[in-house]
Amino acid sequence: MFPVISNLSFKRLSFIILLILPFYRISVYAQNVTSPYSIIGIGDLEQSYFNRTSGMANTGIAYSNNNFVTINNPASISYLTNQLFLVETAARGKYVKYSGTGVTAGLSAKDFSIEKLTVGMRIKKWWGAAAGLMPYSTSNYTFSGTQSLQGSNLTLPVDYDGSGGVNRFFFANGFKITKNLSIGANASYLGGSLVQRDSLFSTDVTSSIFTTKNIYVSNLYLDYGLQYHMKLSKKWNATLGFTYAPETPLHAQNTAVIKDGKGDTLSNVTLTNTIFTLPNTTGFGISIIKNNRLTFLADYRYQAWSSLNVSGINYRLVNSNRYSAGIEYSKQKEYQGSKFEVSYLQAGAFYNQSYLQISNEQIAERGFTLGAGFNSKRSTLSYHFAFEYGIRGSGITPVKENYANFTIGLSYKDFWNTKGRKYN
Amino acid sequence: MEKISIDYFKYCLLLLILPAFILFGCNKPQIQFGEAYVNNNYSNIVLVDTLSAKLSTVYRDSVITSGSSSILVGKYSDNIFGKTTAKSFLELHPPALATLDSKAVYDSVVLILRPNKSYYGDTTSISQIAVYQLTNPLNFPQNQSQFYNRTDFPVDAAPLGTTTMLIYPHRTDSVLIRLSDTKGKELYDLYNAGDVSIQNTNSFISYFKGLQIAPGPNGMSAIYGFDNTVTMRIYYHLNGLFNTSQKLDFTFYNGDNKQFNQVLSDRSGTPLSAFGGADKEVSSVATNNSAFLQYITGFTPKIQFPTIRSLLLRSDYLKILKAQLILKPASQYTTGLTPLPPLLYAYTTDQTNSIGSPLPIASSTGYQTGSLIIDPIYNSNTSYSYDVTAYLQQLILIGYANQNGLLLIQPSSASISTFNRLILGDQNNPGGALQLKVYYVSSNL
Repeated sequence: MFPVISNLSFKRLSFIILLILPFYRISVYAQNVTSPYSIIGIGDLEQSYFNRTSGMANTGIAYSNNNFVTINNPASISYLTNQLFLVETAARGKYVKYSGTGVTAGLSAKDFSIEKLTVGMRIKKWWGAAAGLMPYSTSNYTFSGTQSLQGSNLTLPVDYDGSGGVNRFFFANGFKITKNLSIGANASYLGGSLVQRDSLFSTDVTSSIFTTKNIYVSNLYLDYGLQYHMKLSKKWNATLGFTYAPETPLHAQNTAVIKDGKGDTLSNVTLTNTIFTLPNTTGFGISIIKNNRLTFLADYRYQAWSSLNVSGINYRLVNSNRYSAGIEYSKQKEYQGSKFEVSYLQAGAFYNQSYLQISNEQIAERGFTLGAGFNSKRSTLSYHFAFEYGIRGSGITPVKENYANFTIGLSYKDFWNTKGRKYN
Repeated sequence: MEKISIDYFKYCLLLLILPAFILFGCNKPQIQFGEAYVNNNYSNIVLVDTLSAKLSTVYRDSVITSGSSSILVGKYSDNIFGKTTAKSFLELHPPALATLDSKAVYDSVVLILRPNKSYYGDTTSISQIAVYQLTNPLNFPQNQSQFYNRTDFPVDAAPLGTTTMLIYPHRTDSVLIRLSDTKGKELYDLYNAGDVSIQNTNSFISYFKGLQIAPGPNGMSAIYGFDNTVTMRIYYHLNGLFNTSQKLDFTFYNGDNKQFNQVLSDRSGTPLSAFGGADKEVSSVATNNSAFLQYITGFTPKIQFPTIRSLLLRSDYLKILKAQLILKPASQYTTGLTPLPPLLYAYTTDQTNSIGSPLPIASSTGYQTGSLIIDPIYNSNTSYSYDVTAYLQQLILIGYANQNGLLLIQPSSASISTFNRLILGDQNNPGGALQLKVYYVSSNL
């Protein structure tokens, strides 16, 4: 059923993937950009797809592109160009400046990590597929507190450190049902560990206790999409997009390990399994395209967290709403009767009311993005750059973050060695 | 084209990865948010100071006193430990044989003692010290190579000499005791004649036996320590225009380890009158909530931890993290005349009360000495403390009933060369209660 991959092509692909994979989320070892709110729930839900839509505030439910994998809506994968095999990777640099109570004035952090690896191709005229790896959520925080030494009036300093996150291994398929209608389904495996490490120090007992709580969450996650393309006039086209993911329980295995300062394990306990439920998620998108060059996009994503009734001391998970819009201009050249894209420019803006409500204040993010990309003249590489500036929280939330993200994407195309058009 | 694309790819990948390494190295910034969301019940440290430590006094009727290299002489009447008398038995070896000048004339003989600054009792009173010659050689009993505090050897009825003087233990001025000139002349003549009895140590010891240095009949009110430079010195002079004084030194000899101190106590009428005659162990409950330390007279405190395993019954208990034993002198017995032992080892022991090895220092080499803190103003904070973490971590693992514990003894030479004493309070002694602080790792999982 699958076309045969030539030896050369397969070797090269393996080489590329093996080269990138070890660096995936390398900053796990040096993730400096802490996110104080990520102590709650399964951490910060990743809002970026690290793909061509990143320069348009990740607006893309009604977006499709022949040469790029956009899993914002799995239906779009059915539009990939025939006989092209795509490998995409992206890395993100982050810079965050923090303010608010409990924040040292002028505190900032930066880090850089490879976030995504995707392969995609069109298998049949009516069928495109993509698989890859990208973050779903991230937990990263550190703060200090105190704990009372029971049986005395002493207090002990404790350092808390959170890390880890949930990764998403996806396999997305898009199908062309009619000339205008595509549908898609994306089966993901969500898995990862949220780790909290408490370091209890005591000068009184000249020893330390390290407690590592590990929540390993995993499950299959399915989301679906639909795109409907319409020709409005000779110049204007439009696409409507719709995505949906049903409520999905994530199975969480909880363990706790207590070690002393010498590294001896004092306790290693497997706690009762819990379930963290991901809510119903829906998304609507529209795009209007002029001359296949200028694209206007708008998305709305909604997650029904409130009905799950998740709450704790001082916080509640509430329905999240994300509004975004983007514009893209594609510069194209005609060559032997076909149009080729030379480069493109993008801009976007978003407003996201996150799932987190602290002290009756829903934590919101707002920001804008700029994007640019070009296709190499000498190779089958494409480069993509996206800049995002945003503000998370506000003056009345405990912490406010002003951040700048810079995403670099790299896309490599290769041809299948199939019957039909040969590549010279 | 294919080649170029691969090269390009490598080049771009490098570009992608390089900044990652450049940006690494900063620290995660700490933001004080989130303490409300952490669960503190997972692990904690709990301090327990209600575990019992059982205190007792281990009494030994016989204590080895040979080999200390210190000469203990005197008498002291202690209101707790009773009347103690110390006598020292020692051997001398002769000066190297040489022919004396024909003009040499015997003058006198003295015994020279140098105080080693240790004392027990009232040093402001006059002391009388008597020196006796042994009638029998210092021979070990069969199959033994030690002498004990109760060992005795007969001496001549009349002393070779006595002296009465004020001894200043903190100065090291020598104490001189003029000895009998009859004995002095006898030794001088033997030397002058090159007699076989004076030609070497063994023959001299067979002939002379040795000395006993004891409190004189007029008594003493303290026991003094002298160092091992004891010398019997014969003075003579050479006749001439100017008399030139010369000397012959018979010096301290301990090559056979036979020097020892006899230490005898009369405890009648004291709180310790029940001790004596046989080895025994007496709980602090029976002795006014106190335990007694004066190793040389037979007293060694023992501390046991009989309820340590009750920690295992606590559902949250994981491991002893730290355990500290604090011992305080019982205030009802303190007196300035008797210094506290500056260093005290805590030897491990079991139901036999035999002496094991001292508790080591956890983080370095050497042994714990009790870290004595002296509170000169109120005395109430004067204490010894021990890190018993490792000891209790082992003890808690022993499942059978045992009488393991710790014996407090001064480092070996000090234990049999000083009379430093200590009376410790147990947990119910209001004047210096023993404290046992155990910190354990707790988890409510």
